[in-house]
Amino acid sequence: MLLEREAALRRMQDDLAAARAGAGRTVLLSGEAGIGKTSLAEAFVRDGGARVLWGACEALSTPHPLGPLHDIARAGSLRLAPLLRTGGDRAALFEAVLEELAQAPTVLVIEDAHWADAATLDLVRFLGRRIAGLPALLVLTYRDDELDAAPALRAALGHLPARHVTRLPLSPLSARAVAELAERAGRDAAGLHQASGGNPFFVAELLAHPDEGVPATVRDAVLGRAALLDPDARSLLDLASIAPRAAEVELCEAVLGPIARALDACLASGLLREEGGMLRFRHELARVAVEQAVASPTSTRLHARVLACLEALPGAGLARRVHHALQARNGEAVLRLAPLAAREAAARGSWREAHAHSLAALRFADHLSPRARAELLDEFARHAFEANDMEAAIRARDEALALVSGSDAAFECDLWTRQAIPLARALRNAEADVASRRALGLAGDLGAGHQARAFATECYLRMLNRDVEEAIAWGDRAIDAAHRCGDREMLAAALVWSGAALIFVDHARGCERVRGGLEIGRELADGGVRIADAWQMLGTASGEVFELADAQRFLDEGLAFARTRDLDRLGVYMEAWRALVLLERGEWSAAGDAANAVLAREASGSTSRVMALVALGRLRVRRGDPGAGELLDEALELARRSGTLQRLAPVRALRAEAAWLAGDLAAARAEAVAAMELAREKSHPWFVGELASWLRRAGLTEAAPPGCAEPHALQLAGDWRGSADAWERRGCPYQQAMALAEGDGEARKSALAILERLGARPLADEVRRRMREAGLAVPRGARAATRANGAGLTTREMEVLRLLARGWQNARIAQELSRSPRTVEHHLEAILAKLEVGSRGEAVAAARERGLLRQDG
Amino acid sequence: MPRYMIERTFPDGLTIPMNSDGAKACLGVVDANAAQGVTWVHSYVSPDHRKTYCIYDGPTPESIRSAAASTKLPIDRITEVSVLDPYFYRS
Repeated sequence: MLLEREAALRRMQDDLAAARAGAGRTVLLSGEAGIGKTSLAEAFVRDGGARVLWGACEALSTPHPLGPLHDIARAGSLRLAPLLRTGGDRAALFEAVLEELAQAPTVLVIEDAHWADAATLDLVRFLGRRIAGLPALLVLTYRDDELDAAPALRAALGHLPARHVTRLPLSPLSARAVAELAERAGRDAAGLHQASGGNPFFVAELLAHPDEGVPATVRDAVLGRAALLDPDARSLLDLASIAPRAAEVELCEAVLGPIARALDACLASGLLREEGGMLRFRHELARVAVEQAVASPTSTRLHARVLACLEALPGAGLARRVHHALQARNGEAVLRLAPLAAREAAARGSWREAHAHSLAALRFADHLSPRARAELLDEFARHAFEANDMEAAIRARDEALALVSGSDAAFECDLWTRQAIPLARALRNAEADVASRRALGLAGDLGAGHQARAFATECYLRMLNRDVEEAIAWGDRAIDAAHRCGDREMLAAALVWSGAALIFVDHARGCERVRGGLEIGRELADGGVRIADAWQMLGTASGEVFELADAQRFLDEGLAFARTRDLDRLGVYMEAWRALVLLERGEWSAAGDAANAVLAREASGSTSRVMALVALGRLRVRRGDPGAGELLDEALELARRSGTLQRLAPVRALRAEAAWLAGDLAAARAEAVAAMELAREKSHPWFVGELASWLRRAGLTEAAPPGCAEPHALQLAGDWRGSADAWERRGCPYQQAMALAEGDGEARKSALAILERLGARPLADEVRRRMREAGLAVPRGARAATRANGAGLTTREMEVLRLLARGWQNARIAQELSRSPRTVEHHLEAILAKLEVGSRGEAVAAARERGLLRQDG
Repeated sequence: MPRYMIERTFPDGLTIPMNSDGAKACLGVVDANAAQGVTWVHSYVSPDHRKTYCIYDGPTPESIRSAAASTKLPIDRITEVSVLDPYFYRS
């Protein structure tokens, strides 16, 4: 099926219908090369049901006269063949064609008419003037991007009677259509529309040869056209090809001298376009094809001249100059320009570009002094870190440290400080601690600036390890040093990190401290890093202490901010935590989407990946869905690599939960025990509580440890009701159901209702089993149809709802359903409660909004 | 891509008429599945039409559930499965 050609096809079908009735027309299918003229004509004749005569013109330097008619004769037209062979009278030949068309409904296609010889054009004129009285369509396809090069065709078309001509210029495909083609081919659509300019031929070739860059067929087509240009025009084309995106006419003149004639030739060839004083290729693919065909010495020379001209051109961007400096292999210029470009990009928050620019500088840094190279490496590492490439950042700093070790204590101290954070992010926490201690060892003799950085980093690492008191103490020292040297950046960082540590023991005061850092972050020119970091700390720490409504609000704010600033690493980690928070709040399908998205983006082991594994693993375990085991194993491996409580505790608790649901109490015990000691050592109220709860469920008599978080403490003290209330206040339905499941018969029924609504089959099955064992009446499982409608309405309630939507009163509904009005009243109450609304009208509106009722029914 | 068996219960029985309405219903499910990257291979239905066992290909269990949510089909249980062919084993 052709995309975005439906309207053109329909128009041609209408024209054919008219032709069958004796009112023929000429159809002009025009567009650039590869736009799909022939494909459209083929699709049309395939389904048209009329007789087809098809002939094509060819791009020969001297065209064969009446080439298309020869095609048609070869295909079996008995009438035409002898006349063509004898080469006789043209008038007789044209009359014979006319008779042929008069016989039966016919579509005559002349393909590539821009290459037509003079005789074929005469035939077009001859037929076009008589077509209105024939049961035939004359279809011409031709390129309109080089019409200037085919003036004869244009003249011939000008002679056709406009009333009987249908013009169908074909446009490039939209980005949506290109994306659809990519999807059908099972390939990524990224960049495809831009590279192909929406040209279907280019799209198809790129999809068929994804690894080739410019497919050979495209290259041949483009270079074939370029070969027809004279040397001056070709030079201009080559120059335009080495300019990414577009070249100013002014620049081309500075490089080549006067270009007026060459420009006309390039525009007429259809390869270039001019827009607002800028020259650009019609297709990016064509540009690349020409660029690749430029011989290497020529290209180096051209780039050098462009660079020289750009340096003289006021306002020429740094990125552009770096590009040409690189291509001209001008090391001096790269080293001068690339670090500037990197800093400029970083200040705008364009981390990926900053990363690329500093990498470019490093390629020419071999002859620099060790100190200068180490500075470039450090700069590169900073940008790589912000662009979420931890391994590259760590490698670069290691290299820098090797270059300056022992020679410059201040610089070395800063390098160790800056190395610690990417190490922690890559789950290499033990190495991060070593790096930070080295920095602290050097910082004692250094100025306040170095101390502020080293102390703040140590605060961050202690916070990651949940050594809350130490983190706050180092944070206070960092804040003091930052005040002494006036370093606002470190002041903000120390407030954010020590505030995060405080959140684990005092949520309100911790949040206040982080917000103080966030406000200072607004003054900084750091691309928004500190602000996003502050939102992340607020969101994730609040999530860890089950302040879920706050957590979700902070994460949403932070994600919105990170998205606009291209801060990938912070965005991904917040997305992983958003999945965890949504899951605990009972938004299971949204949690699954978020977790899967993070796992797809974050393929290698990182803090983001481990938290997304926990979220998705927890979802699958609680739903009883397949595929949880491998997630739990990978999560454990990554958590062990970090060795930190914040990864180990959730992973071990989840594995205990999975084992417990599978009835393997010994395994559940072993998992909970494995993290318990660390949790107690750090006195983390929530992790201690959660692990203690699993130990108790797994059969150990576990008294509530001191400092255990409230809902767990209540549960461990046997107050299931208090615990369930506490979970409900925190908006955690699954946890609430787990608490209720340990209560009396009524409580267990409530637990079942919650679990059915969530779709938590394994725990629901377990609750039912234990109710049966205890001799309690077990409510029937909610009927499958109930679960499907999301709001938990029963089939009967749905019936009542549908009748409500008709505006009926209870008495009439009762009559219709052969039930008492009181029963209907009960159903109505249940409906209002489940849809969380107060009136019948609101119930109908809410049901429509949720898709339970049709908009009209 | 993993293959899954999905068990569903239809308390009032599942009826798909053998006419254009039935075809439309099935195609509707196929289209909604496609939006999630999920393919319905085929299903087995109990004689009373209350239970179905559906074979699906899909990237994740979550995609299977999202597709079921949009087609309003119930899910009791999802199990990942692979083919075991008894005639593949020769004595």
